[in-house]
Amino acid sequence: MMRTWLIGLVLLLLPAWAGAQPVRIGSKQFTESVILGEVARVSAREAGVDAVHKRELGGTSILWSALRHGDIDVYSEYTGTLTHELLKDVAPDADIATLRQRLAPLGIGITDSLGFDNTYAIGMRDDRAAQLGIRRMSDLLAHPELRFGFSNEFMDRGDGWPGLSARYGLSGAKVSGLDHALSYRAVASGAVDVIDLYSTDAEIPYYHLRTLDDDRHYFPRYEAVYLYRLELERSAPAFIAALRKLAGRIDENAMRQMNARVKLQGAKESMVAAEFLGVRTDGGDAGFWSRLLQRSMEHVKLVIVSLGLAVLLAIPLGVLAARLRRLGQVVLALTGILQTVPSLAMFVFMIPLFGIGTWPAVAALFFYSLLPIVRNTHAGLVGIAPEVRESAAALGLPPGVRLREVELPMATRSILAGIKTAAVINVGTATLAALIGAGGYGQPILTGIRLDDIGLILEGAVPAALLALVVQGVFELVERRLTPRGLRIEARQ
Amino acid sequence: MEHASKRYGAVRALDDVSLAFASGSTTALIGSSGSGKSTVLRLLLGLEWPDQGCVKADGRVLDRGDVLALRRRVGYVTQDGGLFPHLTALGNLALLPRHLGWDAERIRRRAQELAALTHLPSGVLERYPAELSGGQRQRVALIRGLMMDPDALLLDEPLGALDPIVRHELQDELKAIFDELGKTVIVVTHDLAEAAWFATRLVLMRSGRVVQDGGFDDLRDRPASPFVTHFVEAQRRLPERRP
Repeated sequence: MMRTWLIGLVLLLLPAWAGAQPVRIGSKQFTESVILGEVARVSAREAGVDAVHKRELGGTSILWSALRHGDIDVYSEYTGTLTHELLKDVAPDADIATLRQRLAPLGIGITDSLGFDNTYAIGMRDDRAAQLGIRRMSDLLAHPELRFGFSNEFMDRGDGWPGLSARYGLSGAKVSGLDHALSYRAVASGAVDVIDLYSTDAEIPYYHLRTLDDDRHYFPRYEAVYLYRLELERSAPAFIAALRKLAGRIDENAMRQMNARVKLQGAKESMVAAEFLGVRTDGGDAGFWSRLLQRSMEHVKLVIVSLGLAVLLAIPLGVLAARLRRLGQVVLALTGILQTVPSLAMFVFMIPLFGIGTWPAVAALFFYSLLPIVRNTHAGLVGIAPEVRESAAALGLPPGVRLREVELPMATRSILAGIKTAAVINVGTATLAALIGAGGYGQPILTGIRLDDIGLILEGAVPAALLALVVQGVFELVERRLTPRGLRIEARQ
Repeated sequence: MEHASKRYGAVRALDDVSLAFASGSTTALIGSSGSGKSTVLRLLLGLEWPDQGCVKADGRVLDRGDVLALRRRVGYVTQDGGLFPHLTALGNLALLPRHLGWDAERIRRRAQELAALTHLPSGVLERYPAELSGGQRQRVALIRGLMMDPDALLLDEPLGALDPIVRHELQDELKAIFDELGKTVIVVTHDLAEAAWFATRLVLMRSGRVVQDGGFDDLRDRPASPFVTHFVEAQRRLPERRP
């Protein structure tokens, strides 16, 4: 029983270790980045290079650190982000040759501009802007009643809102944070008046938006480029050559159309990329069932591995906490603090330690699983009537035997309830693992939010909910099997 | 036990108590709740340690290294039996002998032998504690205490939670068992009549001290203090039949 279980676990984990390294392409969590990731992947395929695309890994900081740590080999970036955000002490208008010089010591290479400038812009609904007579960004100053809705990244980054509001004297404006994928609907429905945009966004014409003139020349140029690890020039020269060939081939209009094909017409990124390159699609998107199977495997693996590791640590911790009262308080407090770390932050914290992919996600879920199991083990042991604990001692049984034969069996139900809670929480929280490249049911949810595609969101959300129910059911069966019969009889009275 | 004192926070549970228990004798510790009589048993088992003074077994001062060996030579029965709810009665009985290497057959034979001694139908051994009556539970607890054929038996209000009829019946049985086995017995009770029924030596305690140590006749006829008289007279008698 135990053996088959172990073998199953090893089979689940094996793919994470095995195999020669293909080129790993990363993309940020918005459509254009995913399309450029696919363009790179399809180009690699055409050049005969084995490549995988880790989609929608997160924001700039995650991709940048993944590239620097070697968790990915290449991703698409914008010059403005390099000058304003990622590199220190570099002129805001530095050209690509300068950037290349600055990146080389970091072991990172940069292609020439792909051919378009996707700068930040500020946009409003055309009719509303016309009604208020707003054409330029400095016109916003006269309308303090306008509500601004900005993506969280734009609100925080140096080249985003803080600098912009200073340049235009807009520091008194009412601003709220929004997910970029939702902000178009927010502005279209009138929930906010002003949003941040990218100049190649497909939605600008679709939602009848107007981009405001940057009359004080605040926004820097955002030329699209690929960043890659320099060692690829040796290990995968064919791939680098293919990447360089893309320079200058994608103009603003071509990019906007590709974005529109994916976001507004629901085409697959892989297909759009292949169409653009004029090559056959590779049907890179598997059918529904095999997709579902793949994600289920990823998701279940995350939950089982993190939960298994947590059980191994948390039960001894719970026992220790019950034995040594002072230390117990410390252990419970520490695991409690872990639980209060917002789950997204927990996943991101794991990146510097474990890189991206399965292991940081397992680590984050592991930390979340500790508290319920430690707390319930502790509660189960402390809850045993003192007379019972004492009569075990008075029999002359050594402490280890008392723990194994009396205390742990009597705490079984509580411990199992803790593991069950941790498992159900894990199934839900593991959907966030897709943000750091671990896949699972979160992947279609992320893509669905990005593409505003309810069907896709459900493709992740429904199996996740079902899995939670299955886990609940399985644990109820296990609980019935493992809870000593005498305790069940006692509970009935 | 020599000059033993024990405090729980501000409460003085035992105050300079010296008691010796002869091998094979039966002693009853009596007194109201909080008088320190249960604490005496707990100290004798090494479940608690005296703040001052010491506990000796066979003339040797007890230390933490040999409590396990000591406890295995002493049977201990508490008011509610202290049975483990997740194990059957037999499972409860088997715990210690199995740990000491007895095989299942030997355990079963010993359990049945003691079940006969305590008038417990042997089918009851397959049941869980929650399925037993109060009297059956105390019998199982007593059997558990006797499994290893200990030198001594310590009982802490063993009949305190039983209804009067069962209690009366078990008083008879326990007395017979004590007489038959000839072990050193120390029984804690707050009921003077029960104490006098079990033991020839009564130790009356109050606020952590021994007030009087002697036979029932001594307590009644030669009380060491007005408290002794008060305690003896506080036992309610049945009303006399009216003419």
